[in-house]
Amino acid sequence: MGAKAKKALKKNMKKVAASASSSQLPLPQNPKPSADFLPLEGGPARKAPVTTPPLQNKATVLYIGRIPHGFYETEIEAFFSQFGTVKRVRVARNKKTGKSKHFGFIQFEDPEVAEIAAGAMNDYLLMEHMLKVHVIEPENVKPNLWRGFKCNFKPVDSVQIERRQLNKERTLEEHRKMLQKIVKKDQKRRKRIEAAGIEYECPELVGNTQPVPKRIKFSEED
Amino acid sequence: MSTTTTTAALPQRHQSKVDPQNVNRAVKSLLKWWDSKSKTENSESLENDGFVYLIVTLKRIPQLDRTNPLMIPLPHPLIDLVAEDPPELCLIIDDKHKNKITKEAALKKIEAEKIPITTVIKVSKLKSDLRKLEEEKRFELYFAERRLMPMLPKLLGKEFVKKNKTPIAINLRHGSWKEQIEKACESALFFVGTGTCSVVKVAKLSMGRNEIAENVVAAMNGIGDLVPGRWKNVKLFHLKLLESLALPVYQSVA
Repeated sequence: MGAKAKKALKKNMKKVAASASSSQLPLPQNPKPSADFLPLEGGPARKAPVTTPPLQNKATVLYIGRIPHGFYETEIEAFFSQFGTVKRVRVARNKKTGKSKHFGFIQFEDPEVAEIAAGAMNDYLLMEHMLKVHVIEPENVKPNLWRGFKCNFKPVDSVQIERRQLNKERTLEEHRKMLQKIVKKDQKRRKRIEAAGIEYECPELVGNTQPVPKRIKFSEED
Repeated sequence: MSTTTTTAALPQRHQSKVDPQNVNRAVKSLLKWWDSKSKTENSESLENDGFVYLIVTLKRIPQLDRTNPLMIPLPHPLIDLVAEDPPELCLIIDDKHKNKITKEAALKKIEAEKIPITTVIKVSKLKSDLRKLEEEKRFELYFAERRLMPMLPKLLGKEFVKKNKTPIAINLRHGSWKEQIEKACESALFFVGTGTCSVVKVAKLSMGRNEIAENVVAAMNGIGDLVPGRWKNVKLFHLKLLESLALPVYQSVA
């Protein structure tokens, strides 16, 4: 009975020793790969970050000359957007008729895009017109260059203005002056007919030739 | 206050403000002037077109966006359709849209209904045909399909505007062609422009004195009734020949 117990104890001792040896094996292997990553001495030096110099060119506005008929704001924006983002477009126009004056301005988002567009489009033949495109320096851009670039152009309606002017309500003084003119013109007409040798007696003026106030305006009492 | 005597005998929608005596005196003076003028200067008489013109001046510029003239019926028409030598009238038809009228169909209809149109022109060949025909003939009036009116000024050019030969719009799809054309031929055409002054042909010198006076009175009454603002808006009526002084027939101040 005692001999069996001793044998069992010996078996247990062996098992414990085997597990201890297996746990010790990976420990010496760890320092080897770390040596490859982190050299203790020397090694290549790190590169310092390269600082690029800031952009000196800030011109974004282009002048476009010799614009052909039909190449207006919508067409200019659509065409020049192939170079980059277009901020504003303005075509100079006649104030009375609304027709193009054949020159305009365009503004890009980036100065580099503006420079490239100017180089590419200068002396470009478009609809039998040779475009003249060049960059405008920021100090040369006038303050009112972009005045009215957003609104749709409406030519001056001179007929409407004349109609409003003629059909307006007249004050007492204006009405009196108008009547005087009518009477004077009538007398002049009679003299002219008499001088021409035509025997004709003009009819009298219909209506009251003395001014009657159509509407009381209190500003006249001041 | 001085007012013209109004004749109550004339049946009018509004009380007529035209004094026929003034018109008679004006016509008499103009004819007398014309007789003396034509006797003294024979060569110049050939240049006169033989029309009596009525000049209309309004007080306010009307707000009319129309190109069709106002038609004022005259007791003695300028264009005599029943004469032995009928006048030359031209019709411009639409052959582009889907409801087009062919030239053959138009000519058949003109012949069947005895419409007084002598020439039919398609709008697609307007430029070439019209230049040819203008050299041969002298058209009294031009008629056109109503829908062609917006594009005709560009096609016809400025000479038509200068000579006041704008085509008269008629409706070829509905209504009678003959009635519309005859009504236009028997009327004086009053074109309202963008200003206050207009000129209307009202009579011919070849008519008698009484006929001229009747035409003038009818035209004045018609204009007074048709103009926007009616008689309140009428300021002056002048009567004149092509080269004579304008004689005032009606003058209003109020």
